[in-house]
Order: sequence, then structure tokens, then C-alpha cells
Amino acid sequence: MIGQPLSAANGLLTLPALLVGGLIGMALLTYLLRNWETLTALMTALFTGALGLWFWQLDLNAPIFSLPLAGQVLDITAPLTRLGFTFQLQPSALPILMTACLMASAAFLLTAAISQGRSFAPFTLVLLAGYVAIALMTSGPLAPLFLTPLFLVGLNAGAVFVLQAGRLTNPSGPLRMLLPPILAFPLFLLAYWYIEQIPLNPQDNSAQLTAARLFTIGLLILLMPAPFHSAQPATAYSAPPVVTALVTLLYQLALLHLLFRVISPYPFVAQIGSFELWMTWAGLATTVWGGIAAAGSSHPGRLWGYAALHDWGLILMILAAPGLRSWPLALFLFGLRIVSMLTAAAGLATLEQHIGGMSATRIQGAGNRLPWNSAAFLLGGLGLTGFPLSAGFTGHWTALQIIAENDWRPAAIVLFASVGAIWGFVRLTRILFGPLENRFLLRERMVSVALALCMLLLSISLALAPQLLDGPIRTVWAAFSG
Amino acid sequence: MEALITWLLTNSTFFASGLGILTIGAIAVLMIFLWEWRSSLVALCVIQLGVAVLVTQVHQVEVKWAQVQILVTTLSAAMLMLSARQIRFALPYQRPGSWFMRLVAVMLLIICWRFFDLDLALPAVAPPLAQLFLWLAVCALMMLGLSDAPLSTAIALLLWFMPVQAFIQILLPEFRLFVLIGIVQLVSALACSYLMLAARLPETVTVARPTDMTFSRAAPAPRPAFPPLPELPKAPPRLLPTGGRQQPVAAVRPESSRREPPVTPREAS
Repeated sequence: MIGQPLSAANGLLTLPALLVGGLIGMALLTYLLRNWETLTALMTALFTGALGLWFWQLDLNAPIFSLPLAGQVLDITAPLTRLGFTFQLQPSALPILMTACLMASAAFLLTAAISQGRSFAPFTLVLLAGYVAIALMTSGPLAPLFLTPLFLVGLNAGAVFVLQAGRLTNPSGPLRMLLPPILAFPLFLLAYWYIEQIPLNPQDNSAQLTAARLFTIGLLILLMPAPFHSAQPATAYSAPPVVTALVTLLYQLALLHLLFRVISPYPFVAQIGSFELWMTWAGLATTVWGGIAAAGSSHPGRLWGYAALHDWGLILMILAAPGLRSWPLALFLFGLRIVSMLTAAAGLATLEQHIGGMSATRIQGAGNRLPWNSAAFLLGGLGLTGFPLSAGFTGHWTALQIIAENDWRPAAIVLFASVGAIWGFVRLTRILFGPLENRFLLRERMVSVALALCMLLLSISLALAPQLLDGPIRTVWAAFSG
Repeated sequence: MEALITWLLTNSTFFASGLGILTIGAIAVLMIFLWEWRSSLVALCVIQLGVAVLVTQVHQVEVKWAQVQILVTTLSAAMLMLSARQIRFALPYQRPGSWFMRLVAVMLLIICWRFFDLDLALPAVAPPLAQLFLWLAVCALMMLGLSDAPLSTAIALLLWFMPVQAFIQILLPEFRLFVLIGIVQLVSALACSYLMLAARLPETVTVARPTDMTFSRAAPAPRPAFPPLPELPKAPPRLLPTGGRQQPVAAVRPESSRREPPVTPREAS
């Protein structure tokens, strides 16, 4: 298959080649123009935003698409085979591609006003191309789901460069991002071997049981619940906020897709193993530890990281909950998580840029000079804890109700943990809007005020009318379930 | 290069014996105990050579795999060495505690190994090799647990990759798979080399974070070195005995100078 021409047999271009090639080409262009950060950020925001919107309205029933200006015809569903790997657009991959592109577009738009490092645009485009390739992969030397953790190692190694962003700070966060996929990928390959053994002796379910256990352990390591969680708060502590939000969300989106790819063809993982039990306990531990640690954090980045961890734990608990409602609700929670994290990142990035750091002494009273961005950070952060009138409130409340239907005690524990995280934000509000420490602190610019306002409006509108997400979630769930 | 690696593989059959397996295990333990970057990088290459010889001899795995794997590990070690040379002044401060602490950790590991009698049945792998792979993986996990500095993490990850790569090659002998794992190994080593450079400035203030699960660094952070102060001039010898107190002497004008100086007429020019 090596050396097969780019076009398919009937002479049409393929979508995977165009998509991955376009992203890599754009990355090269933005690397050459990296000194003009605003220009490259706007270019990439436009490019990825257009891609995301195109995926949103794409109809796979009409696969032939004529490319504007190029005079070429594109077959959307045509496969591309390279080095034994086949890439093809499947209905279940469409929402992943759309979400990844729209998230990247929002992040690029934010970096047009707030610099997150010159390497951000080119490296992130390469990362996005990698995630797109994973979503499009339909076959390889092994089934794609077994190779995904291995690809995630490479993508997280690439993410290290954007997360560190040339800062001479403690690199614990980016370094710890590398560990989970490296530790987990052998378990998936071993699970593949056991699954291959199942047809040889169908009466014996020991191979199934071992495969289910290996999947459970591998997924638990990849999902980074407590105590494997330390990458998330450490990254939020030291890395640029918008980069942290985007890299974390892309990784977690790929994990949700992987989880669906595992559970859907291999239902025995959830049935005969103790997957649901372990996921519930891991989710509960993550939620509780996120809340407790957030209550004790005074650093805004670390506090944000722990609030995000608390929210992630709740998603894990919902994924473990039995019943048909769990997946749509998990997707709904993830949608709200995207909005909350990007809102908080927009505010925090401006605060960091103006103050020149995020230590408690520096941020004292900064809210008096940067009120809109402080509000964006606080509302985004509170959205991750499920605070009323924030984006995450409806999702958290529904999740708590579903958990309480089975057992009220975990729901009560999660509620107490949420109070801990909210307490952390209340304390930070007192610091931010207390007496001003640095009299020479500049006021926020109009551009960053406009961005913060947009993000605040989005958060508040989702808080007041969560049914706005109904349509997209239904579409995503329909695509997921085929 | 290919000829050199083939020569190494054919002349290092010692590793395919019982003593060779013990030697590989002992080198892994020494890496933890010594915790010195040069010896650790050399030890990585030796362990890789040993594992490659062992797997090719016992399981008749293709020599091409062994060649690629030795090359990948050598390249990864070379990348790490290039970064480590640039930050060598900071590396001693990244050691996790004293040698005694590491000795205790190693002793604890060996005692636990004997006490719990870990016997993981890896499919399709000869039992002595399975034990060795498990031992190397445990050593790698221990290194990861002891320190979160980029260099030690990179060394631990490379140590982790060795048994994993060999085991997967025995279990799923697929050319593209081992190439893929090799690429991932190189990219991980590159990322760690970059992070080593980012962490070249040791933190002067260590903040204790009760919410973080980082292993605290036992070695104190170095203080900035100030230039030595110039030597002060020696004090003149005292006229009075050191025990006595000298009375302060008021400045008294001499008798002759108490009067006003005589006014002398200015000479006409």
C-alpha cells in the first residue's frame, strides 16, 4: 500500500488527505509567520472555525462535494490508505472533528488578544492534525482503539512544547501529561492479544475476563482520576491558561471517543469486569479530592486546575452510572465543561499577562483594575463547580440527581466537595477585589474586555437556557450511536 | 552501524545466560542507587543490549528488531546526554534524597520482591524473561516514584519501554507496531530533553504545597553564589590593654591656638 496515489481509484480527492494535509500545511505557514502572533492566531481561528462549522452542517448522505475555487471534486467518505493505516470519515467521528475544530478555533481567537507563546499556533495545528487522524482512523496493524493510547503518547509529547511555551518554570505539569499514555498503552496491546484468543475457546471466558480487566486498568490510567490526576492541576499552575484548557480538552475528548470505541464493540468490559465499580470509585475520589484541594489552593491556576478535576470526576461518575441517560448527560457535561474552561482561561490569561504572574501577592486587588476578566475567570471557574447561575449548574444538578437515584450518599459527598471548590473561589474573589496592591497595574484593554464579555455572555446564556445545547448534544449522541 | 550492532549482538551472548539476566537486574538496581546521569545513560544502553540479546536468543525474534531497538535507545540516550551536559551544574540538586535513602528504597524493593514472590504470568514469554521484564518495569516505576525531574523521568520511561517493546515484539510480531513504538520512544525522549532545558534553573524557594502529591526534594536548593568580599585592612595594634575601657577624649584645642590669629595687613599689590 506504500506509495499509493493521493487520489482514490476514481480520481477523487479524499477528505482525510485534505484535512490532515491542510492542517499540517497551515502549521508550516503559521510557523514561518510566527512573529506576527495576532495575524497567525486570526488566520488559524478562521481556518479551524470554518472547518468546524463545515463539519456541523455536513451531510454524509451526499458524499460528493465540489471544492470552491479549486475546481476539484471531493469524496467525503472515500478512504485513504497509507502504510497499512486506513483513514475514513465515519458518522461517529463527525462530532469529534467538529468539537475539536471549534474548540481550537475559540482558543486561537483568544490568543489573538492574549499571547500564549509564539509556538502555540503551529504546534497546536499539528496536534489538531494528530487528533483528527486518530478520529478518522478506521483500520491499522491492529484495530484503531488498541493503537489510540500509543498515538496519545506521541500527541502528549508534542503537547509538552506548547504547554511549556519556553517558560523557565517547573515543568512538572507537562512532564506528568506524558506518563499515563506511556503506562497504559501496553495494557491495550495485551488486551488485543487476549481478545484474539477468545474465538479459539469460546466456552472459556477467562480470556474475556482478563481483557476486561486490562481495559479497565488501562482506561483508568488514561482518564487520570485521583491519584493519577496530578498532571492537570500542575499544568494549570505553570502553563499558559488558554493552552492548558485546549490541550486538556482535546485529550479528554479523544478519551471519551476511545471509551465509546471500547464499550460499544466490547460490551463485556462493562458486564463481566468491575469497570463500573472502579469508574464510580475513581470518579468519586477525583471529585472529592478536586473539591478539597480547591478549598486549600490560593493560586488561581492551581485552583482552576482542581475545579476542573472536580468536574472531570463528576463526568467519570456519570459514565459509570448504569442506564441510557449516562452518555448524553456526560456529553452535555463535557459541552458545559468546554464553555466553562475556555471562559476561565480567557479571564486568567489576561490577568496573568497584566499582573506578570499569578502569585497571591501579585493578584491582590487586581479585580479593581481588571473587573471583566476577573469576572470571566471566576464565573468560568464556578461553572466547573456547578455554582448556581454559572454554565455548569444545570449539568451538575442533573448529574447529582442521577447519582442520587442509585445511592444518595455519593451525591451528598459530591455536593460537599463542590462546596469546598466554591469556597476556594469565594476566597479568591476576596483577594481579587480587595485593596489594590500594585497601584501601577494597567487597566484591561477594550479587546480583552470584549472577549471576556463574549465568554461571559455565552456562560450566562447557557446557565439561563441550557436547552441551547440540546440540539448539538442530540446530534452528537445520534452520531455516536450510529 | 548495522554491522557494529550485529557484532555486539553476536559477541554479547553472556546476557542470554542466568548470570546475564541477574546482571541486567543488578544494573537496573545500581541505576537507582547511584542516581548519576552519566552512568544511568550508559546503563540504559547496556540493559537494552542485554534485553535484545536475550530476546533474540531465547525467542528467536528477528535481529532487525534488536538492531532498531538498540539504535532507538542509543539515540534517545544521546539526546538526553546533550541536554544533560548543558544543565550538569543543576543535576546534583535533582537527586531524590541521600544515598542512604535510596539504599533503603532499594532494600525495601528487594525485600518486597522476595516476600510477595511476584509471579506475573505473561503469555508467550519464558518465565525467567517474564521475571526480568517485571523487575525492570518495577525499577522504572520506582524511579518515577522517587523523582519528578525531567532527566530521571526520561531514564525511567526508557527503562519502561525496554521490557514493553520486547514483550510486544514476542506477543505481536508486527513490523509497523515496533516502528511505531520506536517513534513514540524517540518523541518522548525529545520532549523530556526539552523539559530538562526548561528546568535548568533550580528553584531557589521550595514552596510546600499540601494539595500537591509531589515527592519533596530532600536536597536544599542552591543559593546564588555572591563574589567574595575584599579583605578589610588589618586594625592597628591597640595601645591599651584589651580588658580596660579607654575614656573618650574630648577634642581640645592647644593653648597656643585659642587666641585669634593676628590680622596681618594686606599687602598692596
